[in-house]
Amino acid sequence: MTNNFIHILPPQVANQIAAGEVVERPASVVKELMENSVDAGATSVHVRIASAGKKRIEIEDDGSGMSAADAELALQRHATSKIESSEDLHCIASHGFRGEALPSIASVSRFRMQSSLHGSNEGVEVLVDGGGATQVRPASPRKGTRIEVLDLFLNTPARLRFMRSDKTEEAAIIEVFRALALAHPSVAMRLDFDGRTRFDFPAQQETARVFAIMGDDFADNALQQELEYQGIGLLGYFGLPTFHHRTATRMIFIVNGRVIRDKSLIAALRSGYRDVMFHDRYPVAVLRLEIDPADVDVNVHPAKREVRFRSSQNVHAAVVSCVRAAIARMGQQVSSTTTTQALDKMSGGTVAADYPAQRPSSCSMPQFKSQQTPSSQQWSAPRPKPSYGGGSSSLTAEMQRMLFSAPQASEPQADYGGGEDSATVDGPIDLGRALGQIHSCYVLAQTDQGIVLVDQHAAHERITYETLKKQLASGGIARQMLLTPESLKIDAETAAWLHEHAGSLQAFGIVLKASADDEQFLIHSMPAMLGKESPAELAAEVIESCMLMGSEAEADASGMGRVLERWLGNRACKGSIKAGRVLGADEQDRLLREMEKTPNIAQCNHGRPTYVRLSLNDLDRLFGRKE
Amino acid sequence: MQISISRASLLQQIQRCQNIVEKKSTSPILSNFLLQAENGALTLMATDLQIAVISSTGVNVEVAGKITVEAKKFHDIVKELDAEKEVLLKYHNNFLEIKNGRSKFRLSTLPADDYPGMPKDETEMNFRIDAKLLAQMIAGTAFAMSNDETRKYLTGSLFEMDDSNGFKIVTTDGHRLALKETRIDQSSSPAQCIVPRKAVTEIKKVCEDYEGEVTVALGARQIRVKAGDYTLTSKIIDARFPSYLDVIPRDNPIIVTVNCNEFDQVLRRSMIVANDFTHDLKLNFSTVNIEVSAHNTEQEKAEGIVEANIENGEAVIGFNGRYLRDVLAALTSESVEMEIRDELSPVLIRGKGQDDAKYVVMPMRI
Repeated sequence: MTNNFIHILPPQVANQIAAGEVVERPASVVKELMENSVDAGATSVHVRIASAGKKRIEIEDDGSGMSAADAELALQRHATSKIESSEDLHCIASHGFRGEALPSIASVSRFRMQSSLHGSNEGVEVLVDGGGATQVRPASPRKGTRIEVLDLFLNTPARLRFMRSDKTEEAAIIEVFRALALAHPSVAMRLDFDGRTRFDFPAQQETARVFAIMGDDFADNALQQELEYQGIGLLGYFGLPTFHHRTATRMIFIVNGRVIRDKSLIAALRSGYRDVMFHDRYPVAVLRLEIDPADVDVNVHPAKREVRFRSSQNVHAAVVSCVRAAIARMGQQVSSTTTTQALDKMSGGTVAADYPAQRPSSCSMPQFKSQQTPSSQQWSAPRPKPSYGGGSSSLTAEMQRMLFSAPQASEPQADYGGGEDSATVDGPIDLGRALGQIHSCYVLAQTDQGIVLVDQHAAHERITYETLKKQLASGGIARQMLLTPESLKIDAETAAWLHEHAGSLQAFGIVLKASADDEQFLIHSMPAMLGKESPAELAAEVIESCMLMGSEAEADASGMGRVLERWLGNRACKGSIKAGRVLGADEQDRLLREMEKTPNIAQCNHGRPTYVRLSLNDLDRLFGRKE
Repeated sequence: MQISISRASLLQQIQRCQNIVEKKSTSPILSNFLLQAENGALTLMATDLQIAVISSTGVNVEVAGKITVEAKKFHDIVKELDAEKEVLLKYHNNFLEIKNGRSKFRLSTLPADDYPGMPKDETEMNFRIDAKLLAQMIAGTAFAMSNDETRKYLTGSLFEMDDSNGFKIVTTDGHRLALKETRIDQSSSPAQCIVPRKAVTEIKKVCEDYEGEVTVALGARQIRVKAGDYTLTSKIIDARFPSYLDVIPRDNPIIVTVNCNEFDQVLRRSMIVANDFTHDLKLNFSTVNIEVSAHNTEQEKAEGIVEANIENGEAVIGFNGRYLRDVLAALTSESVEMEIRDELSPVLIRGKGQDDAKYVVMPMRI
């Protein structure tokens, strides 16, 4: 018996513990190894999976490779080529850096690696079985590295038991693969499951890769926006507000080439969309941020799914500015998926059942192209235009596009024609002449290219709201003083922020002062136009928004503040034309003309579409005149 | 149950109770009246579980009993009946039969035992007050109640009996305050409670139609108002009312005296072009008159002048015009006195020579 209970764990156990953090499931192995390939400068990465990765994960790249000595060392814990000192930790530009992945993986699988240093004429093969002794033997030279991970979790039965069904694990691998493919368009990537190719992306331009991954619907209904904000470079592909999704999974952020999920980035993106989207819907977007690596801490999460920003407020403001710039350009267009839904419905499609009258439909989500076959590699040639306004009158549509489309601030998109697509969501709209009113609820109008159906209440609601915004933007915000100051319940973080920034809220009509005992804040005035609302609720929302983005970003161009505008919008709703109101012919036309002039007209204040377009082509197809 | 009753008397009973019945109640029995006949009286009861009212009247009871019947239909039928003829109400086979002259109705009923009982009396003190006076006090303060459900304590009226027999009704929505007071000539212990809007409205309605004194009883959880055969019991808002005495300004230096009607006229005209949301008016008080001006975001303008007596200084202050007009409408005197400090401090408004009311309005920073 010994009295020493504490002892250092053998390396194999330590590696298995590390594996618990890094290697959760086959998808994490795929992620780590693909990242290594990308870090090694590969131009092509091929992933082969057998039995959802439970049997075999194989990754082959044409990167720089490793020498025999390096290959052996790479399997030691905390051995890495990616950083050298702790200073490097503060400006990490590569994917990996912890030096944990290979030994962790090798400790829970039968690990095979073949590699040879670029330009060398000898290769090396490394074998490790379940974290046992590392065998190194010479092999023939090759280009890049090939790694095989067999029988994952063979020695950690607990993990094995926690593995989900093949479908689920495959889905997770697809998710990981897609994220990396999105982040690295210049690297050709291919994914095979049990010998069948699921994805095969050639080296592509960014736009082409984004649309290849996000699907055709996204390509038709997204707009590209580039922005430089205080040293942060942003390139976003933003879905139309009416092209929304019911979960947050279609918002993808790439920070310095790394796909991450960050709650605050999601919040910033949503707040950019807030004015034009129903609150329980999520936008669909891909946003790439380039930030000085010194301003991002990626060493937060072992799998590096999270990052920390030095100035998160700056990042939020950048995201919001970028979204707003995009929305300002797309404001009047309704997602083409509404047309598809309408057509499906009319032709007795199956969508009918889940298209409830009053709620935004869940059908407008983009479809990921999960069954892409190699034969569909058409990205090198310009894709045919979607049938949006095309058909027999496509010439007019093209002309219009040429005449009105705003110049695209983006990189060359010759291989895809993304600029053309973006143009469909840009420029002024033509809603045509009113033909009549349907059930005192909808206005039917004819345009040069087909017909338009307008929801009169939704459209008028938006018009009222935008008018109101304009009116209020032209005057300052009057403050109604409160008879008895209202106390505000806040947490410590908010209080700290308020101690410094309470003064900035005066611009929104809210005067806050610390109470005598300094323990809480008191609201002394309210914006007069929202005087009847609850001071505490309104103030809390304005503070939250200002904390997130800074009061300048919150104030926006109008100076009114998004939060105040939205509260007003809720009131505007009540003053709008209701469904059921009979509109004369003049009134119908006037509504259409008003709509054409109104920004953000594509959706009502709750994010529902205000109009649906059916082109002649759509109608022809509906009646079987054309395929 | 079987009774006969004059149509006028029955209709009055119903009208006293019917406002309490919620139009859309989740519990069907709450859409009903409880009718109870015994000891030569018909008692009608209605409740929404917050407020309960009971009204009874002497009738000819042939068979005693109690039932519940849908309030709206019962009211609609009785309204249509021949006013000259007696009404016969009879419970038969789960239905209420209504006979009057040549008309006959049959309404379905629900068992009276399922009806919530009259709340127990939990009041701790009471006093008597002239019904008309109480109605006036409510009318002079009701406008300043708030609609903001997040601040429940502002959505009702404070009924307060102080320790020297002064009875006050106070309301505030956080922007302005209204206070009416009177002296009760019977000794009574101090008490206060916040009465919800619906009960306040109901009490006012009953008091307007009632001649004589009503009894007001206050408790920690309840207010009870008794007017003859009519009793209203309401739960009160369980919250603390803001300490209103602190916000009534004292010694504001600038004193403005102006004729109520003339002042109101100028305000009314100016408000036509004022901002629809804020109703903001600019008032320039300078020695002999008040200049009222308004403008909106379309650059439209209104200006008007009213003669006034202004002592101890001058001021330019923004107001929500509606707040001022609400006060003027509540005053009974010919001219109004405003006591002002500066453009940020509360302004006290009183009727000249009218001591029973005080109004405070907060300015607006335009």
